[in-house]
Amino acid sequence: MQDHKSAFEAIYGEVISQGLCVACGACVGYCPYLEYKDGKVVIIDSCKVGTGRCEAVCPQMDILRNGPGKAALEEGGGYFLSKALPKEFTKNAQYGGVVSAMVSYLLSTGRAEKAVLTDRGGKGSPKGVLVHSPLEVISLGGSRYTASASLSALNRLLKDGQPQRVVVVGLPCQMRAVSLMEKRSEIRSEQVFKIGLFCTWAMEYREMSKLLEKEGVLETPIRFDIPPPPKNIFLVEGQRGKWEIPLDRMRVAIQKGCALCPDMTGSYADISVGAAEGIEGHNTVCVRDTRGFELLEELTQKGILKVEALPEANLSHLKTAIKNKRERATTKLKERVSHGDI
Amino acid sequence: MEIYRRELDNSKVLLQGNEAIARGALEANVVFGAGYPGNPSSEIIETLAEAAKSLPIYVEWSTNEKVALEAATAASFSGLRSIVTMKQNGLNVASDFLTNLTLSGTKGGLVLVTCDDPSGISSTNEEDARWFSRLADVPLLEPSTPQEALHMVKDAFWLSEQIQNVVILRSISRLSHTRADVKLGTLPDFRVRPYFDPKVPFHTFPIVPKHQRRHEKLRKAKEWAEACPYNEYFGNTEKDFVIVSSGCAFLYAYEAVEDLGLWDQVGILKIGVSYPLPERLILDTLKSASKVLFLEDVDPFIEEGVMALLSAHANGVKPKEFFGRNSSHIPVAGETNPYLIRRFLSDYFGKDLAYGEFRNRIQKLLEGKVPPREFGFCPGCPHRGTYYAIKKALAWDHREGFVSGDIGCYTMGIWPTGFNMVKSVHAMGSGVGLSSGYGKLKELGFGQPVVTVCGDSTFFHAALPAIVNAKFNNSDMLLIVLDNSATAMTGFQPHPGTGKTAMGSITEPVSIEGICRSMGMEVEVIDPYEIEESAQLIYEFLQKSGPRLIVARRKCALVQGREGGFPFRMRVNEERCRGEECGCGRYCTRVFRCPGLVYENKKKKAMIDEVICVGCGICASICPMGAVERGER
Ligand SMILES: Cc1cc2nc3c(=O)[nH]c(=O)nc-3n(C[C@H](O)[C@H](O)[C@H](O)COP(=O)(O)OP(=O)(O)OC[C@H]3O[C@@H](n4cnc5c(N)ncnc54)[C@H](O)[C@@H]3O)c2cc1C
Repeated sequence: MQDHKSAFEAIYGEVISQGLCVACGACVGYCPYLEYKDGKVVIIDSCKVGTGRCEAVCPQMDILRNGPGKAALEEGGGYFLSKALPKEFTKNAQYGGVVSAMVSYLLSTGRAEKAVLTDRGGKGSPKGVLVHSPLEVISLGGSRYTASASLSALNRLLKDGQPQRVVVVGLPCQMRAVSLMEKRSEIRSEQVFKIGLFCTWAMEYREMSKLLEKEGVLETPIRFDIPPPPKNIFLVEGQRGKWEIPLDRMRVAIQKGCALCPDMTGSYADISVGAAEGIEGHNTVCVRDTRGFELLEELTQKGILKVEALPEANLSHLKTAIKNKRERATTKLKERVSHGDI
Repeated sequence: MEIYRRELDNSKVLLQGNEAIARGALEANVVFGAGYPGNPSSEIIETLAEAAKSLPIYVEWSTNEKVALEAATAASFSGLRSIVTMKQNGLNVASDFLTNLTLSGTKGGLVLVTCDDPSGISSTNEEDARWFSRLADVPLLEPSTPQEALHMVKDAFWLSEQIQNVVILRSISRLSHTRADVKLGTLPDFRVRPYFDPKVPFHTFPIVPKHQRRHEKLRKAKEWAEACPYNEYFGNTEKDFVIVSSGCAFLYAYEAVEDLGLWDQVGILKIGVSYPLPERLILDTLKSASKVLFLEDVDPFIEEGVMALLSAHANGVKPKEFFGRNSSHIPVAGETNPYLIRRFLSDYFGKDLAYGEFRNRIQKLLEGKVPPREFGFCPGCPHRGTYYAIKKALAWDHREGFVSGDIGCYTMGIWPTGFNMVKSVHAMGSGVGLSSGYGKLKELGFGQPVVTVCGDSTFFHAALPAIVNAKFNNSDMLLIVLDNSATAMTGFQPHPGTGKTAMGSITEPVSIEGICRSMGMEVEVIDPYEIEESAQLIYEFLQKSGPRLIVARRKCALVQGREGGFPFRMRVNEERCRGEECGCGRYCTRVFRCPGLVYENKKKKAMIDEVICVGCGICASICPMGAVERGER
């Protein structure tokens, strides 16, 4: 009867079953059909609803159908070097603690009631959490290098239909997904503050766990890091030790879908934060709109953040990395089109 | 019906076929009964167990049919009369002992009742258990009516003692579950003196002479069969067209011949002793016939016996045309029902009208009265919760896992009511045996996880050896025992885990967890009503290796209903239920499918069917909007 695909058939057929899902969580936690479990977005049953939200908010579907979209560099904005000054923000932080500081500030000033963050996992994979106290924010500092479908936590808020001011911390795919939700008027732009994390790729939890087990990591690690090239290692820290694993041995765990993503710096975010190559304890911050600028300024004035110009060498490295990722993704996308995959 | 009351002696009462069999056994002075529940046989032991509360007899539900036959045989060896009952599949289980027992022979009358289920209406197979009589060289009696069943049972005990061997009495669903007037006889005093004579051992050696002896016993039975009234020709003179028939098919044939006015063209030979066949009667009756139609359930058992007999006497008999299962005039599978018989006869004798009328009459009777229904778990059934949890766990696990099923209500896991989770079902305990095999395939590159489900009664029946096998061979087997504390499918008979025997006495329950723990298996218990927690535990267990057990424990909803009911009064919050607007696609009624939930087409909302919803509360965790609410009773 139906001559075009249902939403579910589309997202299942074109994204999930193709192994292109990047577990952002935009489709999870809203309907009973899609759930996130330990690194995978899985299908509980097949849905027969004709048009659906899952398809409309899927960032991978957006790329497949509409191309790479917003390009970081052309959009302008500004790049800075920054770090959080109060120790509490840096003790658990990945680098400079800028993300934790910003989120804590938004919550404690009431500009956000809830923050969508990623927990540390434990029994299973890290996943999305709704947080409202700055203390919790601090406790969740640091990067888990696996995708966490943390937008499922945002969906919980949206589903309850309560007007919320919320800050979302997420990877570039997640920033794209939130902007798709804004486009659908599920949430107003003023309602949601988007903090992006730079990202080249994320790993799939189960694959990563298997590899780590093989490497002798038999606990839930506390900290991960990928030091800048040319080191080419994956650093894992746990209670019982530190492991330096050649990055190439970890690559099989990288999500296949990440290759389609053209966006390294979270172009759809208000502010994005990444590493500052060669400058320990600092972040590269990319500001994209007035809201972002205002926040950065305010935090500087309050003495919470130290903000400086990004060294020229860092900027040019970053620009190359951004360009490379976009080019690789565009090629990949073209390949798929020419193979008739989409 | 309290068939054990002496006041009923010599009176006429309305009895179910199975009750008539039980009463016949009592009138025959049976003091020992054993069986394993299985439709359509269960009421025989149930009736006897009820009788055992006021008569000096012993009745038990055994752990399986083989054990039932063995237990009953102990009584026979000690000179007592005993009856053992089962369904067709059960006879497969008992057959190993049966084929040996019939070599050693018996002492006190021992009658084995098999109730077959033509068309497999309540079975996993369609099987004609009559073949076992040929396999084991023992007599086979086939009653057509409850009255005949009562008489036949009594004669079966007499015959068993005459030939010192087992006699099989075969009923089918229609007879076991029909009700008819039955004239009763008298109950005996049940006085017995059990004694095992050490000078007379029972074993199968020397084998060949014992096998020979078994055939001699059979010959003796044949002499009896020739003269016994259960085989009878109906029709005034010799006819050219003879129907050879047994059991219920005989009644249908009789009725059809009557209705279609065929008595002047057709005769019917009713066979009550189907093995060994009454040869002289058959040869005499069929001498001058040129057409023979066989009507029986299910296989061409009598048909082939008669054909073989006729070819052995080919010289003296007229050449014949045969109609039956072998000739495809009757379909090779399925119950021999009145419809088939009428269709054949009316077509053959050019009586289309009568057949058409019959069909129209039936259709008119049914019109608009029988809504389409699918197999489904009852409202509140814990299996629905368990299967939903398994469904989630396997989806989370994402390795194309599946469920290996077994026999019980939960067999319905092959259908939407169990989310089509179950991918294989065969015999009692076989799902577990299969899984002990899947669990070894990993070494050969198999990557899919398998969940095995088995009921509490099935666990004791035949799953145990398979579980031990998994343990012995260190197989990666995840077993979920669906413990609803009853043999629910067949009517809540007790089993070793329930702490109660057939006769109602209290016994120490055998612990499923205890058994598995003692073997060193990892064991956890879940509550099927707590779907998320259950799914999480199953998921975690899926990641482990070696043989392991989860007990999903919740009383059968029907039992719970009788024993105090459920805590909630469910309601749908109409503001929260967004109906067609919701992206759920009617998840509660389309996917979860508890019959207590209905989709109200006018309101375009889900609703609780208060008449059948028991208030278990599971569905509250299914609705993505939380619109299904647990209210107070
Ligand atoms: C998968 C991944 C890949 C990354 N790749 C790069 C890269 O290639 N180049 C680069 O410069 N930077 C990368 N980053 C960003 C970097 O690791 C830091 O997150 C960032 O610099 C912020 O540092 P911080 O000290 O301010 O963070 P913190 O103050 O420590 O805060 C980190 C925040 O990140 C959130 N978080 C942790 N793990 C995840 C996750 N898996 N998904 C979503 N949110 C999460 C936490 O909730 C926490 O609030 C990556 C981050 C992740 C999670």
